[in-house]
Amino acid sequence: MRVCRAAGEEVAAGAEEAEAACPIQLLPQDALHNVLGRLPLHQALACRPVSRLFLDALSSPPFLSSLPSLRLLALRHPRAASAPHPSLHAFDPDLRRWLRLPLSFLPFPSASPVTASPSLLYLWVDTAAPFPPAADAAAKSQTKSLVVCNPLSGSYRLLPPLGSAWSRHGTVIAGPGGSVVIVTELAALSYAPSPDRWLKFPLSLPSKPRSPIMMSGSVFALCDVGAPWRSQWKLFYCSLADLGRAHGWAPIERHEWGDVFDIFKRPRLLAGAGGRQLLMIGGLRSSFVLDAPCSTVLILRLDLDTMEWDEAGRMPLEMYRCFGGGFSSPLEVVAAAAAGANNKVKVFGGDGKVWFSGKRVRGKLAMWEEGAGKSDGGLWSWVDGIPGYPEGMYRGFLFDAGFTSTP
Amino acid sequence: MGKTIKLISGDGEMFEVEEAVAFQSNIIKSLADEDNADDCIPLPRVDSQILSKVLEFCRKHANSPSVHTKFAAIPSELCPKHDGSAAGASSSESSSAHSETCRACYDAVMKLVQWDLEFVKVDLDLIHHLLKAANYLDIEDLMFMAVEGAANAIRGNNPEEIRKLFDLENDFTPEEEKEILKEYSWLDDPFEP
Repeated sequence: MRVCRAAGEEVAAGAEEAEAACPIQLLPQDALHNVLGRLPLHQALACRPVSRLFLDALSSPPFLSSLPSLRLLALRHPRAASAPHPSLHAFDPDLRRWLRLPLSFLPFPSASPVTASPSLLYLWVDTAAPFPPAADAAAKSQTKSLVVCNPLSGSYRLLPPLGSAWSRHGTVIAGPGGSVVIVTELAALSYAPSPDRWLKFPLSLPSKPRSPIMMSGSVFALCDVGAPWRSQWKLFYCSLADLGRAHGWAPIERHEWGDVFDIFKRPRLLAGAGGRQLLMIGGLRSSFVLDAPCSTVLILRLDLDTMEWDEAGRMPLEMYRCFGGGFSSPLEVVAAAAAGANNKVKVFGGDGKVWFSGKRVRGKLAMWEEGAGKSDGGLWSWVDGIPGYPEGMYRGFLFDAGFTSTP
Repeated sequence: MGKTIKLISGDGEMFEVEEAVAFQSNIIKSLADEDNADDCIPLPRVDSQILSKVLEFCRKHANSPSVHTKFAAIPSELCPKHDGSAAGASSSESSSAHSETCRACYDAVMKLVQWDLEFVKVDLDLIHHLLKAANYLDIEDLMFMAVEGAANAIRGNNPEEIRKLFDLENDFTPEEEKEILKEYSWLDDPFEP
């Protein structure tokens, strides 16, 4: 079996008879890394079976971690990550195809994907000891742990266990560097690899936080500070370091914004592209009359440096109609209400990409991508072929699949 | 013709080129700076066939910004509209303000990139020689484009086709190959619901 080795320049120059060997072997190792580094991750990995030369080049951890990750939309489904073929279903928006990432390297009977940092995947797993089988079924499922893993390298790490109530009621958000925050109505749990412990903090917010996200080392959330019959949304943030401080949470507001939040019904937050922009997404109220139907879904963008809002995108009406909205007359509104129409829309994504799912939109998602030009409204498209889940309301999160991070 | 430099290839052929062309190579530039009396630089490791290809590339790039230069940093002297004459350049514009909005600069660079991509659309044997020469002569842009040419050859091809292109043997046993193919098969095997 011939072993290929990349020889140094001096050897190549001196030995003319070495030209009989294949040319690629005589280039410095760097050159092959340069070439493979130009390929998208999946094409580079596909070169592994070419020969030992390629396999060696593609097995070097520093090289692998320099390759750009594959940006994916991963679906949260409580049972997809369970036997017999535990996997994460994810959509590749560049090649517009669905992938199934194997999770069989995780030694847990069931795992529920919940979020990503974005380069490491987090799942809830049951860590109760299987034997002896608990007499009391409730006791058995009283602890859950988050596991952080990299499905491409097959490495994982368990975080300290928590009471299962946190997995049922908390929103998990993860950031780079292994930091995780779980937010519930009244408290937040915070984790960092260096103390390797969960710390609990009361939330000093006026009401239950909605749509918490982590971006640039801070947690952002919306709170309803209005009356029970009329929502009034306000934006808050808290840096990770200040979570424990009495007044760590501060509102983000400017007088010039006016009533920008009032035009939304059920707004959510997502991280915008580049880490310095917030996206606020929600139904655009067609009037300020209470319970007025929404005319479409609006995406506004807040630049955290200039503190100015601009319109990032607006769902095309034909698309919005598929979600059950876009009524063009009061008659339609009444008819829909009578029929018990549910045009709730689930929104998820990040870094300038947003996906929408709805009960009436089975088997597909609407996708919005921030455009290259800031004021071009972005690109709207349908994503078909979602792996068949009986429920129509998919939820998901952004996941950068690659080798750049290890748990 | 401006000041010229004489280059001698490994197989003894002489090439006389303008300094601006030859100095694309950082190695040639530093050798010429060493006060060489007869301006004759020997390049034993590059034969005439490859050297002539390399010089073709350098000639094209002699009066253009590097592939790595951001549009905003293109100096106005290199703008095709201004044709290198100082009288043409607007005195009120700074160099950077000039090229960010200058359509002529943008078009010229894009045209050059297209030419480069065609230049490296050659068989891998030639690309390999260009890679070696670019590395030895330290010509950044040629290195960049030769790497791109090699990557283009790999893109979209399966392992057997890549082996043919690079003239490599499959040095795995069938069992080893099977194991390797299995590991990331899900990347190539999109999930059909």
